[in-house]
Order: sequence, then C-alpha cells, then structure tokens
Amino acid sequence: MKVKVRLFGFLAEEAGKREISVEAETAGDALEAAKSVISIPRSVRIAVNEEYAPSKRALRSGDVVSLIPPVAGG
Amino acid sequence: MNANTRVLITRRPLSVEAARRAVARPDCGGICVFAGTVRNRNEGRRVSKIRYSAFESMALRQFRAIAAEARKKFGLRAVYIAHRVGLLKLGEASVVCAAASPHRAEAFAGCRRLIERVKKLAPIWKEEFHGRGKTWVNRA
Repeated sequence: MKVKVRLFGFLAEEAGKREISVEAETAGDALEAAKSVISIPRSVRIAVNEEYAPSKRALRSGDVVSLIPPVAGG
Repeated sequence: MNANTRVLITRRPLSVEAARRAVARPDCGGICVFAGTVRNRNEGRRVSKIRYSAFESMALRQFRAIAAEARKKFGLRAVYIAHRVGLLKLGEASVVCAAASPHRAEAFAGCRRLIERVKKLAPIWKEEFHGRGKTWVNRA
C-alpha cells in the first residue's frame, strides 16, 4: 500500500524534501523503499505514528512512517 | 495530561527559574534543575552557534513518557522538561529539566534520569556551525 514517509535532520536536507511516498507493507519495507530517493545509514531509526517501531512492524492504511536520524538533543 | 508534568518545545529562551517554579510544591523539600548549554568546542572543533530542530509532536510524546517513567522510578512529585529549537548562541540553554521530590537524593537522581533519557530518545537534532560550514552532530 502507499505510505507517507517523513524525513528529518540531514535526511530531509539531503533529499531536499520533508516527505516522500512509497509502497510498503512493513516499517522496514518503507525504509528500504526510501533508499531509492536517499542514502540511509544503518543508524537511522524508524517511527510509526510518532512512536519508535521495529522494522517488522506491519503497516495499516493511514500509518505515517518517520525516519529518525541519530538524535542529538540536550 | 498530568498536572505535575510540564513539557515544552519552544523557540524562545529557556528559564531555569520557570522550571523551578513549575515543579515547586509544598510537599517537596528538594528540587534539582539541570540546564544544558551551548559549548564553544566539540570534538576538537570550535563551535560558533548551534541550530536545533525537532520532530516536535513526537518529541513531546517522548518527553511525557520520560517524565512518567522517572516519576514512577524515583517517586518524583513533579517534573519539567523543556527544549529549545532554532538558532542558539554560545552559553544559551538548549534544554532544562527539573525534578521535585520530598528529599534531595531522589530529586538529583530523577533529574539525571530525565536529561539522560531526553538525550537518548527525543527526536531532536543539532547542526553545529564552525568558521566555514556546519555539521550535523551524530550523523553516522
């Protein structure tokens, strides 16, 4: 199904956009599909609907995947 | 939303006194406030300023979860977590955490827990500016 993938930090900067749309059934699929648009290091984590999620997390219609680069708050 | 937890992300300067006031309670004899500030060097390089950005709605969710965990673990009566975004100058506070407890040991330990978890979990990023350019911190 079509899923919205949000990009942050250097991913958004390098892709030149904050959002892409991909075909995916799991969170991990979405990350893999996003690699066709941008290079994604292994350190990038996945969130589904604003919560961290494992790659195997099955997606439902309307879910939003976010790619979270290594955080550096504080 | 718990009345004893206050979390925020703002472009405006942070205040240590606002954090103290937010957690002050008559049953608490200990308040610990931590401020993280912009440092002039990082990894051997001179830093002139830092830009913070956040996935704000998710970061606020994380802050609330971090606050709830620390409250439970240390029996804190009130918790405050604030993070700033935008361009910050040297010495300005980027993050302020506060924990209030009847006694000091839990306030210190709880406040430490808050900042450690914020640094580890909150979807917040920083770009450090040097003489010529900038780098994303922790970009792997």
